[in-house]
Amino acid sequence: MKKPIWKRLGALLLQHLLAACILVAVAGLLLNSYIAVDTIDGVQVYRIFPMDRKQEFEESEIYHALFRNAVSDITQLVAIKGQLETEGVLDPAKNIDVTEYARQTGTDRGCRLSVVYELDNIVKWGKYGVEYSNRIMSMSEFVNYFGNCFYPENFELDEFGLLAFTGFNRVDRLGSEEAPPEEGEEILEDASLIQIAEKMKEYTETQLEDLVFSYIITQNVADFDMSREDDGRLIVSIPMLNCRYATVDGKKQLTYYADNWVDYMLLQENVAVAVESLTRDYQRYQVCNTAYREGNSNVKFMVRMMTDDGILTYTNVKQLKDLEDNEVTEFFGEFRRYLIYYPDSLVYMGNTVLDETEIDDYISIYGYAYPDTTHIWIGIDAGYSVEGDAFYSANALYQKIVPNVDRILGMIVVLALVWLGLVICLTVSTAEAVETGAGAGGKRFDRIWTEVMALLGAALVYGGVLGHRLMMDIAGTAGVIPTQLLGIQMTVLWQYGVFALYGFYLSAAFSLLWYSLVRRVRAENLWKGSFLYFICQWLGRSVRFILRHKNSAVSTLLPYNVFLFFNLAGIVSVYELWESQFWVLSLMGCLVVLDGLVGVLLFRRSAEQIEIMEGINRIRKGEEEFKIDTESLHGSSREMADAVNNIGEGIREAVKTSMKDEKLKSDLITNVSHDIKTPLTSIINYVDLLKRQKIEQEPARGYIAILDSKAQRLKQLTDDLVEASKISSGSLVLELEKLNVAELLNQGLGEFSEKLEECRLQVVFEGGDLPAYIYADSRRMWRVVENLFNNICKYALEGTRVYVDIAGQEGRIVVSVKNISRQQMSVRPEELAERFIRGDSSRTTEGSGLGLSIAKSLVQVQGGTFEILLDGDLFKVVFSFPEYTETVEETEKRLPV
Amino acid sequence: MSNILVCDDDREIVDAIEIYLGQDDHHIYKAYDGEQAIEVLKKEDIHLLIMDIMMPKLDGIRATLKIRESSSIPIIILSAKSEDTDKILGLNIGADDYITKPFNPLELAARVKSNLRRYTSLGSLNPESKALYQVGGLVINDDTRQVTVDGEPVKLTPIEYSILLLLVKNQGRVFSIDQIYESIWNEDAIGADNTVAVHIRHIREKIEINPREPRYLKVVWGVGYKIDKQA
Repeated sequence: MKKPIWKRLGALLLQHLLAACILVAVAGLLLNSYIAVDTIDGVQVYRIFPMDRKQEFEESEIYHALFRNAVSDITQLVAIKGQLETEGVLDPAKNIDVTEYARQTGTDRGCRLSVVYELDNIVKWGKYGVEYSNRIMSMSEFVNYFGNCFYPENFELDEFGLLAFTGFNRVDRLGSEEAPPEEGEEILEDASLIQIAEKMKEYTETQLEDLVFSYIITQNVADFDMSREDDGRLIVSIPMLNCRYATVDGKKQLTYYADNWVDYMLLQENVAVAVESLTRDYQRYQVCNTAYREGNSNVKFMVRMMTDDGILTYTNVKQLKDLEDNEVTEFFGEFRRYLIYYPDSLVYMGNTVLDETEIDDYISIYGYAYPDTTHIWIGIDAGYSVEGDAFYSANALYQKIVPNVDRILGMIVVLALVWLGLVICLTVSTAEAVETGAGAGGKRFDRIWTEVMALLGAALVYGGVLGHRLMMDIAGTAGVIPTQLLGIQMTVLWQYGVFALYGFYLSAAFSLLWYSLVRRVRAENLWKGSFLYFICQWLGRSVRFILRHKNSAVSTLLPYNVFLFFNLAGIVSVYELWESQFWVLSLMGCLVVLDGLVGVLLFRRSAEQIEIMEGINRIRKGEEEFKIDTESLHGSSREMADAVNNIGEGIREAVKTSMKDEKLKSDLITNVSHDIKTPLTSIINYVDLLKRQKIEQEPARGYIAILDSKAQRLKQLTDDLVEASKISSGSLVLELEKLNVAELLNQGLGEFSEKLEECRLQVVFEGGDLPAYIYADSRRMWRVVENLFNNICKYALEGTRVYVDIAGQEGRIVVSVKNISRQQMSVRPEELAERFIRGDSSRTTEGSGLGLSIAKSLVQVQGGTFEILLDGDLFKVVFSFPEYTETVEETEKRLPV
Repeated sequence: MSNILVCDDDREIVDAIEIYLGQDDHHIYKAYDGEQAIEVLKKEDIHLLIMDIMMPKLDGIRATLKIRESSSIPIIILSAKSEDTDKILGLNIGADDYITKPFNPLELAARVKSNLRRYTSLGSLNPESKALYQVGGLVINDDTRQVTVDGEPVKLTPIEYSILLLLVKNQGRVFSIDQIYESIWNEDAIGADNTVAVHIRHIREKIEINPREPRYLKVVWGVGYKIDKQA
């Protein structure tokens, strides 16, 4: 049994190790097939494997991906260069007009104002981040923040003759150096303006403020928050840009430039856009400009465009700068892969997978920077003469990996096949184990509910999915970004280790579920072992139980439910009729009476049941004549009591019959034994006479001796048989008296002293110096002791000691007799006290086989216990009696014999 | 030389008894049922009767009752019925002794002898001697320190003699091992052992015909030993 288990464990381990190996091989592929490239948008990971086997590097997916990346980088770089450079170098002092910039990038919403910052201020600002602070002001503060705007020029009358604010056409700038014109005295020439001014006088200040505010809101310029204070005033909260740096005019606050909220908010928006996107551009510029500088990259490019400022040329090949377009085209046409694009003349040349729309997409990101006159040349140096750039390292990795891919793949396939084979073998052996019963249901795991197993399976699958994600993360970032797992820096060894572990996990999880499933299907307990089945069974049992006990259901469940219903109905009614005191009181009275009645009924039933229980107990204890008084009982209790009484009668009859039967049997045995004894007497006597004949012939003498001993044995047997049957038939009359067991044993030892000496048995008698009184029949007790000592003489090993102990224990006198058996005992100790059982199953020794049985029966008949214990060759008889006291005598006398 | 009537429906048993008792020079008359026995008794001068109980025509119990109406000869019942009740019944209706089948021939012979002696020489003892104790056929002469059973002298060791004398002097009283030990050895019985019991057994073997069913020195199991008062 042990060996197959180890074999199986070994196979399982092998299976898991194989899975680990497969995953390590996969890891070898994955970990080595990723390459990280710094692009304009940060680090990008490209995968070499698995699409591009058996291809040149220049035709591989990754090559095209890198090329695409280069095109994207370069188009953006060139655009950014236009933003940030002056004369081909980064110019920190370059003036940036924010509104123009916003207009170029297409984010401007029609701002009328503009401010100019120096580039380095903007970039520094962007590095800190754009921050706003909320300004809170009252409505009138808000409306008049930039100055008074309640001028007729700013209003008009609508068709209903109501005022409407139309825009900040005239604002009285507070704090402006120009003194406001004398408005009050100004003569309004325009008739409509006069009309409006008249109308304005009808409006309160607040109403006018509201008009202005609603105008600002409709312009949809920013997130104003409006709330009402406790005193009813309106409060406006405005996010205002924290201006970290001053403009080239030396003004720090944008409010200086604006004279109303609409303009201010748009300007502020543009500044924020400029700061954020220029900073981003600056960072991209920093990355790409270095990466694509001449001598840093195998990518060669040139972009030339006609602008209002003249011809601009961007390139990382200095020698091309001054060449004509066709010469440049010639130069790039010689590259292994190149791309030439003149959007204005619809020239698109190249031998890459990149098409025109794609490059248009890239260009359109910075579309404003590319006039139609742009010409773009991009090519890759196929010699990869510049070490360390993306193409170089991708090429190196590609050359390293691709030739080995087949080998690794082959290995994976072989390993996978071996794994599969092992799984099939184990599946078959699992199924067979179930068949032969070796493992059927033996596994604790198979005994859990199927649903639990399914849940566990789901958990394991989820774990597998998580693991897969983790593995992919590790593979994708391997060697590119330092990976951390649970705070441990992943070295290459760790990465392989994690893969191996994952493989082990997958295999182990699979076998746990799969083999259990196989065992369940095979043992056909997939359904039987499920929780659903358990529930169904339970429900079925319950329903069957109720159906089987229809009467109980009708007699108990139904009244119980009616009782419940009445109570509930009563409670509800009381609640409903709370107003009417009469009904409430009478209902509650009824309920109390009903519940009281039910309580009394329940109490009576339980009391009656206890009464019946007592009756059953008394009958069980031997009082067969006992009758439960059925008069005082009711309903089903009375039926039950009658049944119990009938049972008692039945028992009485049965006992009587069985006693009679035993008596008949005993009489029969007695008679038979008489009939045997008469011829036996003749046999014994004539054998004796033969012995006296002094027969000289040797065989005849031997025969006579045998006849003699067998005849004696027959005599013994018949005596014992009669005695045994008498005891079991209960026809034994006991004469109980107080007697001393120690004395009895001493007497017995005296009687047997010679016989014991003959067998060279030494008796060690302990505890005989103290009287040990019991209440028993002295002659029967002697029979017990006699039988025990006879037994010892017959079966004890010669030359050994016999231990006789007598002790008082918890009110009992316990006698134990121990001896070493001569022969090996071939029967169980409890059988030894059976009739006709002897220690040797061959029954060749003298004796009837009734000695111990008689002893045991006699002890038990006198109210003692008798036990035979075997421990190897140690034969031990223990019998005990209650110690004699006056009360024992009393109780013993009452004991029916 | 006595005339003994043996009555049993089993002829072989009667013959066997004839052989045994014939060796002691007794003259044996045979009967095979109760009626025959009564007839023989009427005709012959019979000194002792050995009778079975279960016999055809007239069984042993009724035959005994009938015989006792006219005769006082010793009657020994020899029966396969070994129950106490059977024995008590037999002895109560007038039998002098009760032997169960299968019997020991020597025991039978001894009992026959004992019963005959008591029947023929009862009351022939010298009652003058004060140191004479008698229990049935057991006589102890403390002057001569002689013990006889049915007239046969018995050799006892001094301790055995003392024990027997103690019991005979106190007929009917039960002595425990400790009590016997204390009166004979005159020292406290510390941790009584089976010495006394062994002596008693030896005495029984010497004075009793069947030591397992003693007539004189009786064992009260678990209590002690006694010699019953003779009626």
